[in-house]
Amino acid sequence: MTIDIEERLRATYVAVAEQTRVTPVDPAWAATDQWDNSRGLDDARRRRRWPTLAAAAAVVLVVAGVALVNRPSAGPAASTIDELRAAVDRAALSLIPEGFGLVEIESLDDGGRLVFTDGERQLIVQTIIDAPVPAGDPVEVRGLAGRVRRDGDTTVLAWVERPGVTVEVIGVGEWTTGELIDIGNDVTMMTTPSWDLLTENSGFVEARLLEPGIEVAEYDPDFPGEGTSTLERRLVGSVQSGLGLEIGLTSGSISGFSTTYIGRTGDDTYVFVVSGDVHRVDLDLVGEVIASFEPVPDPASPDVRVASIDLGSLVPPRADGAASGVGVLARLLREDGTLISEEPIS
Amino acid sequence: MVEIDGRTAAQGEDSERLAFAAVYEAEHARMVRLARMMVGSPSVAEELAHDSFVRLHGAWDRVENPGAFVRTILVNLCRTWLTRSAREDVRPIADDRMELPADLDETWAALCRLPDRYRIVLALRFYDDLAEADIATIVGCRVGTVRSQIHRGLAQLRKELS
Repeated sequence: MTIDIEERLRATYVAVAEQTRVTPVDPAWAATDQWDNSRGLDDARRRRRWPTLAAAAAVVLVVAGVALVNRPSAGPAASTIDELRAAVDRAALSLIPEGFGLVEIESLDDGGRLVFTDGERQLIVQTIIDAPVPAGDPVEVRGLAGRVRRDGDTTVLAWVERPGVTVEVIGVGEWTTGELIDIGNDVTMMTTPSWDLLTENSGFVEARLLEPGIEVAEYDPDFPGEGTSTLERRLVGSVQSGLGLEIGLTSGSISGFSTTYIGRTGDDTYVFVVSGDVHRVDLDLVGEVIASFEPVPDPASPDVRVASIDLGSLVPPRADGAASGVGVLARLLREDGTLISEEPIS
Repeated sequence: MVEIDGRTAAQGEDSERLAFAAVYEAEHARMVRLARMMVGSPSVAEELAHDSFVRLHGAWDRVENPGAFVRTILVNLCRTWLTRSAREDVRPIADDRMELPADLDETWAALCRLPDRYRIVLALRFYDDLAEADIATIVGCRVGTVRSQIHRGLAQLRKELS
């Protein structure tokens, strides 16, 4: 019997779609203050912070879920959305202060902690479950009642984000109350999966250095291609602001890694897989990562030799508007620094 | 004041909010269902669709074509989820109970067994009714690759069902 496969496929899609319940959500959530929270505040501030915003774009991607999970409830049903909202439990920054880098990220039994530094001052953002707000002068942060207390060179801004969840923004060094409140206003609450992603990757959205022998399940820049490859080590895509951020080693410069190119792994989206030694990986001022290595043939064009990969945090707009402004852009470069190709990854 | 989709608001950012809300209302349900065609699980689909809109929301200033943008993000999220869940062996594809006619149920099960790359392009082509060129833009490959994947996907599906 001959099957009109296209017709049957369409009929199947229609039937499945009809049986796919979509939880009604009032899009008015977009008209709440979360609009500002997730989009970088007012224009002037956005412009002033643009370099930082660019550097922190990856973090924004990870934590953007806050806009979803914080929106007003659409109904009483116990839904995925409700579950997500309930899971929001740890604070992170949607914008990292200019010049600061993440140096520590820690999951605690009763919360989580992020530590940033610019080399002189330290900034700690921590979430503590079921903890009282320390005494201090009353302030307003995120539209909530908070307290700020100074003790020596340490200033603690704290507030109850929601019942049972206390957030503290701690400045060590010379910090004004106003600065800490600004930072507090940039705090965004993360879902557990997002937080886990952040901790797993040491603060990077998609950076991970893995041990040898991991198989690349898919390997083809022209998704959805096929192919496999085994690499010795891999550095998964990356971006995070702050110099001196670790990628396995300290100081933002590593060497001796084998790997590279962009492939697709069985456990994550895209990876660099270079077959030669990576001389170094640099983090530039806006958090981009540049990995340099002995030139190797571009698997897609063997006569072209790839000498480095430059990971940018922003994808330039495409003519059709698709995929503009989000994700990570990987540029493959020749020895002289000229562009071979660029591949958006996300 | 501006009016979008029956709502009014002050000029400027409020109008952006309403414009976003209009896009959300117009596309949300379809994106949830499109995601389901790719990942199988309705709850995961809902989560990924919402996440796509959150990202659209965050990039609103820079997006010229919200529909294309949110589809691109959705496909990327689905691919990421499929890859990750395959490794963790926790894929809930086709594990929920739907009441479908036997032939369609059989087709759905076969669809769920297809390689991810085939299932994704088939959903974009035959559920979302996108042109091959649009699919190529969304998944980030050449039109010829899309055409080839659709052909192979259909062939594999036909083979499983015959």
